[in-house]
Amino acid sequence: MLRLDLPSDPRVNRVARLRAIIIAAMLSVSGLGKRFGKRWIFRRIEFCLTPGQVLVVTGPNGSGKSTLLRILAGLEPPTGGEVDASGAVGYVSPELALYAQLTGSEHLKLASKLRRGSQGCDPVGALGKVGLDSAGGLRVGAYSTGMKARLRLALAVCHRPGVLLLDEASASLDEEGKSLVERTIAEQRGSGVVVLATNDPSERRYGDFELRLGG
Amino acid sequence: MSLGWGAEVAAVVRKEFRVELRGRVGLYSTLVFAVGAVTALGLASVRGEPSPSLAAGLLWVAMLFACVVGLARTFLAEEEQGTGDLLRLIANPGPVFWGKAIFNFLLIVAVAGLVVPLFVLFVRVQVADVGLLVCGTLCGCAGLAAVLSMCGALASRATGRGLLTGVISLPLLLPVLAAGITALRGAFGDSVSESWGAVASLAGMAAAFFAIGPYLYAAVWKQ
Repeated sequence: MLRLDLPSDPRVNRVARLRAIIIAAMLSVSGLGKRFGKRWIFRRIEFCLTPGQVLVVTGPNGSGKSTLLRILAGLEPPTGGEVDASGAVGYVSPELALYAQLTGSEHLKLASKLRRGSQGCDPVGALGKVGLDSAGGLRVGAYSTGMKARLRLALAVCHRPGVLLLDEASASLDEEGKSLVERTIAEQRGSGVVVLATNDPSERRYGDFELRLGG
Repeated sequence: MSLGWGAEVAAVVRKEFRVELRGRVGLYSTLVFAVGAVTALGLASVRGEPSPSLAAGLLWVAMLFACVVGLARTFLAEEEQGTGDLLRLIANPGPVFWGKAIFNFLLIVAVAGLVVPLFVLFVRVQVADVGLLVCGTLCGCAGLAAVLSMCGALASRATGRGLLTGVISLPLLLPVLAAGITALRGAFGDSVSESWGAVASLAGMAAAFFAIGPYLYAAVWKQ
């Protein structure tokens, strides 16, 4: 079960403090559950994240980490419960396919044209930030797995989302790429929240809270 | 519809052209079907010119063969290649539907630009009314693009989407083909009186299917 981060002033009663957190929340989840057939992958998940907070989701393979993040991203409907995200959502996953025929730069331009209600995106700056400035004109079909992972990261943060969802974001990255993910999480703390699903025990250090699934 | 909406649609159209022209999967199959069908029809009609009615039917068969694979594929390929999730993250269903539908229409018009002259040349059919031929072909192309876009969009998230697209598009394609044949029959020398009415029917059917498509696509967008 997830701990809630309550303001420490003891004069404020608990209900008022909870209300304050919910109002300030960028991502709140209540009673969330997902079932495939008759098997519940997870159920009754509740949490609330306010700006600056990072939630790390852990658990064995098949425990529903990726499914939870897909639900939070709005890519999959939950069986029950609600997700309320304020602001734009950025999502990174190794399963997120890219267009092999488009260049990295074209991906970012397409995203900046199609996204509504979010802050503008600077494709050149975003590519430079993830170390792809010299590869922006190459078609993604010619990218390595690590370069694709970097492009996914650029696509997710380019529009400065309020909620950043990282599913195994460091899985195929080299040391420099892993520190890029670390920097991205640190930057996101300044403007929004992060939910990070990982199998890497060393990434638990990024989180203010941990949600363990399948345990 | 705002300027922003138009820019979103234009971005999807550009994306479709880039992916298609660089990937060439659908384009090549469409061209092979188009040239193959017209050549076969030309060889079959060596011994005599077909009647206006038969010529109009044969032309639409060639167009249908050439386009049916490529057009529905525009929607289905996103799910098969897994890029549908990326689109759902960055876009809204309306501009995506319209961008793909417009791309489909432009693709089928380009195919018609190849198939119709080749057909007239190979099958040696007499064109009695060029205006009717152009209008009938354009409206028929719009009808085919609208039906195949709408059915591709509706079936895009289903299991067995290829089969489902074929099954649901068949009853909708039949009236489009019937009106298309009536329209082009006049262009090939038959009575013109019914043909302009058929052109109007084609335009109406295309408008109706294009109008319904975005709502159906929005309904299946996040399922």
